[in-house]
Amino acid sequence: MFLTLLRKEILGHILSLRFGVTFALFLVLVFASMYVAVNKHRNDVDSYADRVRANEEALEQVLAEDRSWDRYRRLFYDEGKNDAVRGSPYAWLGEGLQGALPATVNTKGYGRTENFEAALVRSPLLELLRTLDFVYVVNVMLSLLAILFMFDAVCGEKEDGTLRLMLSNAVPRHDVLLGKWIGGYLVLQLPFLVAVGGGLLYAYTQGVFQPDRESLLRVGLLMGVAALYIAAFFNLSLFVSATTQRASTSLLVCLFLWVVFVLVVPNLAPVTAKILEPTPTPQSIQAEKEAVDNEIELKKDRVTQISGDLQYGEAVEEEMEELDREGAQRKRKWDQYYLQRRAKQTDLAATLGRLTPSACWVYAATSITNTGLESYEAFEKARRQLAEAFDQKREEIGRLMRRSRGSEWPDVTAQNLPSFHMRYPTLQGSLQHALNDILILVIVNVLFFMLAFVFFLRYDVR
Amino acid sequence: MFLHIVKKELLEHLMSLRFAVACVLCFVVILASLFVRSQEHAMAMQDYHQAVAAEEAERERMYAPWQLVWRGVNVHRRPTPLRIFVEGHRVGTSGVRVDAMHRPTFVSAELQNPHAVVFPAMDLVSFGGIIMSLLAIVFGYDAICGEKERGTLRLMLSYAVPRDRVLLGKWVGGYLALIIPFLLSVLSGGALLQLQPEIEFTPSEWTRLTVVAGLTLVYIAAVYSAAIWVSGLTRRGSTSIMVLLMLWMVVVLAVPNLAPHLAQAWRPTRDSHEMESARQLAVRQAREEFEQKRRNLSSQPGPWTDLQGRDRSLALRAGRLELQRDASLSAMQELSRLEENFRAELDEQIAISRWIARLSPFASYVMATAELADAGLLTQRHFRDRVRAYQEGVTEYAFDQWIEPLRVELETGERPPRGEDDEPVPSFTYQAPAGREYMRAVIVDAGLLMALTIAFFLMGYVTFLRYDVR
Repeated sequence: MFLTLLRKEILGHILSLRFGVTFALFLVLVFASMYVAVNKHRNDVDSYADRVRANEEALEQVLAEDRSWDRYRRLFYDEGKNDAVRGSPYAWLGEGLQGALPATVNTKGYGRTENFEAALVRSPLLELLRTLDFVYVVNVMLSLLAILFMFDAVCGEKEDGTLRLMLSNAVPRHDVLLGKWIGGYLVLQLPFLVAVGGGLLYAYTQGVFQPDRESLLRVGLLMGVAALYIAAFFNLSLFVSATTQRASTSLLVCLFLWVVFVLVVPNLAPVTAKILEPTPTPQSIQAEKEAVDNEIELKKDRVTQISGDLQYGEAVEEEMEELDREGAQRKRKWDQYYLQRRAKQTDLAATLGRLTPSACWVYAATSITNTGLESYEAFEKARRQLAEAFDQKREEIGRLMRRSRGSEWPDVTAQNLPSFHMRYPTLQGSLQHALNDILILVIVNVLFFMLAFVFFLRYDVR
Repeated sequence: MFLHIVKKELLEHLMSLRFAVACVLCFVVILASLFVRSQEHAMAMQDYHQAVAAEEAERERMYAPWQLVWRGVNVHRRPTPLRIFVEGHRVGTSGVRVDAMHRPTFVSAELQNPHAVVFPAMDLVSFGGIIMSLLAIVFGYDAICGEKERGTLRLMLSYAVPRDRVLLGKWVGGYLALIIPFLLSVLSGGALLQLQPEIEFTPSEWTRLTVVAGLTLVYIAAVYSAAIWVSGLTRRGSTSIMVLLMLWMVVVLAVPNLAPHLAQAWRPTRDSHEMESARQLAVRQAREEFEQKRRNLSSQPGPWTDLQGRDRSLALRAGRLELQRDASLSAMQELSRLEENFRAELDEQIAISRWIARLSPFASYVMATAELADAGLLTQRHFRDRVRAYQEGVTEYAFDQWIEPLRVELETGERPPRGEDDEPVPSFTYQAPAGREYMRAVIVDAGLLMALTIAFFLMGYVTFLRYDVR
């Protein structure tokens, strides 16, 4: 009997107009998003290679400067060193925070780093509108399609009169519900798998998707979490359908819940966290650091005044370096303070957002594709480390040149200068970050299904 | 008879569950969003006042012009209260560091809050554009086919009621029911905002806010008209809602978001490293030219030619500073020229992406409201141009403050003390673009929205005239 019910549900869905339209939309949306994202990723990879080459040539030109002091000035003050930032190899699946990463980081002495301003080469409409990537399509569109698939699973059949007919036979209600769930979900997954398969095939032909062990595991995990997320809305609409008498009411309630879970709560969470846990602005931190610089300058002036004719001696030089170290340490403390406050705010924003399955999906997906907060923090850490190492190099070379009055220049090559090394989280690390969100999705699925089950057992089919 | 139909439609909607859901959504989401965003604005205003005060104090502490040349000043743009309603562009809204030796550095507020990149804040435009359009579909999908299913349409038309009156009555009654909760919640939110002292609108901002509200109503009318049209094409409510939601997904969610990428593929721009290389080359050439002139200065004829000793050294120093000033200004102009070239390329791509995006009324609505709320390309570019002009002014001022005492010392033999006679550092005052510039920026999108509303209504009208009510 169960298999008969299952077959009835599957055939009922497949032969409906809804399935045809959903199938077409799944194919178009998922494939279009993957097509755009894969091409963009390929361009980004090519562009990364061009940037690396251009940066190497620029650095060679600086190091080929005739005079040592000119070389020193250009390297640590005027032009600095450019390092290209490599995007996540899985960014074609979800942009996440990749848009916030600069294409190139420019590092100079005294811890100054700068992102190449993208405002003149990047369309501002990309900021105004959302990127149509796989994560967004699943988050917003496929969740809505899941609702459209199941909103009238129970109440629609009641309106048609066939539910009463079915239950007048010796058919347990739990079989009916399970048949509806499995039949509907299998039919919903069919276009999803076809579309995703097509997208992955396209990505493979473009050289963007390499089927090695890590990629396969990540993509598999992402598709699994996507299926879990779609199932959450599937169960939600089944639950709502089992609590209402009319399909139009069920649709209205489902749409209302979808709007709240997908559009409202996740988008209000970051701003709410900003109010509850405010962070100091980068400018106020910069002002504090400048105050430290001013204080160190005054101390240095006092040392110069006290030392008089000995101001160029070794002891005075050591004292100046000690003051520089003190200044650098105090500025680092301000940076750490800012990062701690920001971490509190982002944690609160994530916690508030996790009230909805939509945020859980986005956080899990961006962790799996290495385009989430962890990757952004890895970028900032790498940039800070580069700034510190580069400044140490500046001090080392500056000291040598001052002692030799510019006649000595150490063996500095592009290979032994500090470089930008950003480590994306490993697969294990990504899974650890995504685990909480995956568990929440599982719990939400179980909860909605249990609610649907309980309400269907008591459903009035007359 | 027309008023009877409007009254009937209005009452039917007011007593329905969908109206209750619309009220709940509008009041809860709009008020929560306005409250949260107004708090954010209050914090931004506080940061702005603190930053301006810190900047004033920093200027007071400056004891030498070289500090202005090398460290520069921070300029800030007053946060506009229109951002409470429209988020728009996130980049370039915080402070800018301006000095004579480097290009202005625009700090992006989004780096403070990475979550805002993944989950952009719910503003009035996203609510109006996405949620209200969904509600418009829910209100309009069964306007005609639903009544046919219930049998009341046939009954109504059995009387001597012209079909055009029926349709117009349905449109007016349904539209009023749709916008009542929206307008009430926006007005309530606006009234609550007025109670907050940090929120002050200039007359220009009030005008633009009114236009934003007007565009929102036009956009909602366009979607509602489309819903009625599709309702007149179908026989069943379930078919109508399915078709509408699928179209909504494609037109509101997919097309606008695909447009920039399609334009990028069609008309790619050069990479940022090319731009940066060109910038660095221009700066390096300017510097090399300056260095060469500086090295040869003493052998060139000038005010120092007939001077000896300390006077000659003062004159040469003033001469070098003038060279440095001219080199800085020349480099700034060259960089502006380079940026204009890149901007021209980008503008072509932006124009293409705008036209592709305009296939969706949602994109027209978003683009127009962003421009009006100082969150679009117009204000971004206007601000950057003002900052560049200010940078040139500060550069001239800083070097003049550095050179003038040397000249006075050369003439009088004594260095003038730094005191009250010194001119104050020019302050940065930002004026919003003129009203006609805003109009020029939004006229196409606003016109498209109105044309679409009329077009959808007319199509609905023609469809309904031929509708089989049996």
